[in-house]
Amino acid sequence: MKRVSLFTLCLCLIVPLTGCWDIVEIRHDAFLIGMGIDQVGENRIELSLLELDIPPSTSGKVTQTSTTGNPYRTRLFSSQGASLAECMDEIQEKIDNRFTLEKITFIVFGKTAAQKGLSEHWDYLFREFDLDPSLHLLVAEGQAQSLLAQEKGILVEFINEKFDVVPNFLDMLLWRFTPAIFNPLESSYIPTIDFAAQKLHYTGVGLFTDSRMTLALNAEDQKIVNLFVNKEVNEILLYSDETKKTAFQVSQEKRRIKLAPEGARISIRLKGMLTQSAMPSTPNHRIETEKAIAARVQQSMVELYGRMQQEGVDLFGLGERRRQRGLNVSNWEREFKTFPVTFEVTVQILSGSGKME
Amino acid sequence: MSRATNISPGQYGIVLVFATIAIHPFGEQMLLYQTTGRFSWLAICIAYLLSVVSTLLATWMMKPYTDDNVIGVIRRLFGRAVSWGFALMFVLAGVAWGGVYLRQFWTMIHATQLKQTPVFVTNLIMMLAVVALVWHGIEGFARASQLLALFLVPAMLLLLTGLIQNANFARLLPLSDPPWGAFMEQRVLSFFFAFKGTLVPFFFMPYLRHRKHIQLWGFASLTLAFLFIGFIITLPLAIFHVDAVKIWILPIQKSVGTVLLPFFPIHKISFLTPILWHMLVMADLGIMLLIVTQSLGGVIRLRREKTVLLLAAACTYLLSLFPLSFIQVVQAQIYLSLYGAVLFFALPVLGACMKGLRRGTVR
Repeated sequence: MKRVSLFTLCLCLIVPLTGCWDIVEIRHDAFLIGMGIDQVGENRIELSLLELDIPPSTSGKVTQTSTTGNPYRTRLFSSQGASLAECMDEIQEKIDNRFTLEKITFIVFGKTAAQKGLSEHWDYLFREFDLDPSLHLLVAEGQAQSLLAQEKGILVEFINEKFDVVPNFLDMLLWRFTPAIFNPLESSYIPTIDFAAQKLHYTGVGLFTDSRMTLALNAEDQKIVNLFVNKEVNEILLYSDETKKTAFQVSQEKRRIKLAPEGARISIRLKGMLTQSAMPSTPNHRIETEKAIAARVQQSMVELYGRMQQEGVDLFGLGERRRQRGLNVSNWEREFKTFPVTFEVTVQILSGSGKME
Repeated sequence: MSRATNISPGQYGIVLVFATIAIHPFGEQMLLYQTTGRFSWLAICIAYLLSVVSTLLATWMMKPYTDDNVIGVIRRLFGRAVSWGFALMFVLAGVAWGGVYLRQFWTMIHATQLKQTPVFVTNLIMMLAVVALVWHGIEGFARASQLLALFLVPAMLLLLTGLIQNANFARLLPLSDPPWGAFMEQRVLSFFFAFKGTLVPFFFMPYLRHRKHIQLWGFASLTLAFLFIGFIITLPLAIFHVDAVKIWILPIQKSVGTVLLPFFPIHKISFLTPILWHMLVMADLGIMLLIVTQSLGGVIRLRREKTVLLLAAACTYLLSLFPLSFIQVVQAQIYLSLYGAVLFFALPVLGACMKGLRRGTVR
């Protein structure tokens, strides 16, 4: 009797455990994988949502190759409104399938939206429990909506499979960017992209302070930003002069920031391989090449940092470090522009992989 | 009352860790962040110190009584009427905290995994599993806890390692000038008494195989639990920002979403972590149900202990279904913690004082 009762109880529980009366089949889920946010007026935004278009399964084959050769086919939904919540609500009505944001892997901000500031969107993005904190952030050179309309699955493929093999690409994730939104003493960056001739271009990086993109840098400057912030800087190619005939590929970087009340000293030590050299072949060739590359990198750093200071971009978080030490930072925004920072770059050329110097 | 004494000090320590951790990974973090901000770690330290004092006092108070649990000891120290009063207080604490645990468990499981499953089903399944866990009494439960720990310890270590890699603990600096006024607020004061480790010496000590180094075991277990809770509370602050984490109900679960394991077949562990919290809740609910049966067993001779267990489980289950908003559940937690201050702190102090006064005449 006891066993029969237990068996009956288990049997009764099997049905409600799966939530059978509310079940949503997977093909009825909307596979929203990308989001675009544009500023279209003073107080108006345009939201675009990219849905992965999964064709009905035929003889077990689910994926279908698009005209661009990649396995992703997408559909775009757009809506304009005063806030993300309003736009989401409108798009929800357009999508036939169950609306969920949990599969979104990237957000593209239009350049104007990025320049106006991201903080007003952040509350929605951050409050939404379904959004993955590890999703990628990108800034489009123009409108996010038009970029998403052209991407034909290429951007989806790049984010899902390829972004970590592009040497100079500086990826940014939602959770890593968040402190810069909430803390005015911290600056951050988001990579910029463009789409032309059915090809994705990684155009550079946008630097943010106080949640606004205040400085847009090209791919060459992005290399220096990479040296400023990245933990792994493998395969970045640096040159000794404007002719670009002596090239050095970075394989390791050590960065040290010494902060004092009167100024900061940033030491950067680079190790890597010489991939091409136009320097005269003398007994001191290696040392001279190292010095030439170091001087060039140091000069680029000083120049770029000067521009960053003028725009208030504190990428090393010197203001936050001062706060952590209990120093007064109430006027940091003004003080930062004249805060003395010196750079010291040393380069070491390694031998190996069949290369001597 | 003679008892089989088969719990090893190790199992006792594991139960103590579970009881102390309780629902902190997803229970009251938001309250702490909203009041004490980046100084939330200080609240944990104060709670830990109070917990160490109360647990060690409780252990000292219980040490000479080999056959009685806390209710029996209170009867010896304060008389029958007082023991009845405390037994009812423990029953109320067991059922009420059990209800809150189940409710918080549902909030977490609903937000992360079983979004379509109704609350009465998830809670019923959970309750049945917990009843099965405690069906064979305290000793069976202690052995089951040891088994749970075998799964939990490596999983927690993996989880914490991933989270620490993403954390920047410098965000908690400077350590000077904490907002002392905030620590006097009711919601923070309640947190000081939220560690329920005291319950373990009160009810598990009579079942110990031996009591050698039991204070040391207690201290080590509390410290382990404190380290875990300390990380759980400070990691979201160190990963995001103090202003960012104030709006989430489940900050640690959101933090787990930042952990990527590119070298593992499963890149993200965020969908696995609810299972860990699930196991913790199971262990804690088990402790609460055992407290109810043990408390009643201390004042009346229970002929059908399992019927009482089923009744307690049914009450806990029904209480968890009571339609309360998240904020109301949080408010209930605050009141229960203040109520717990009497049980977890005042009682050991009072008991230890009485024992000190009656030194030499305890048996």
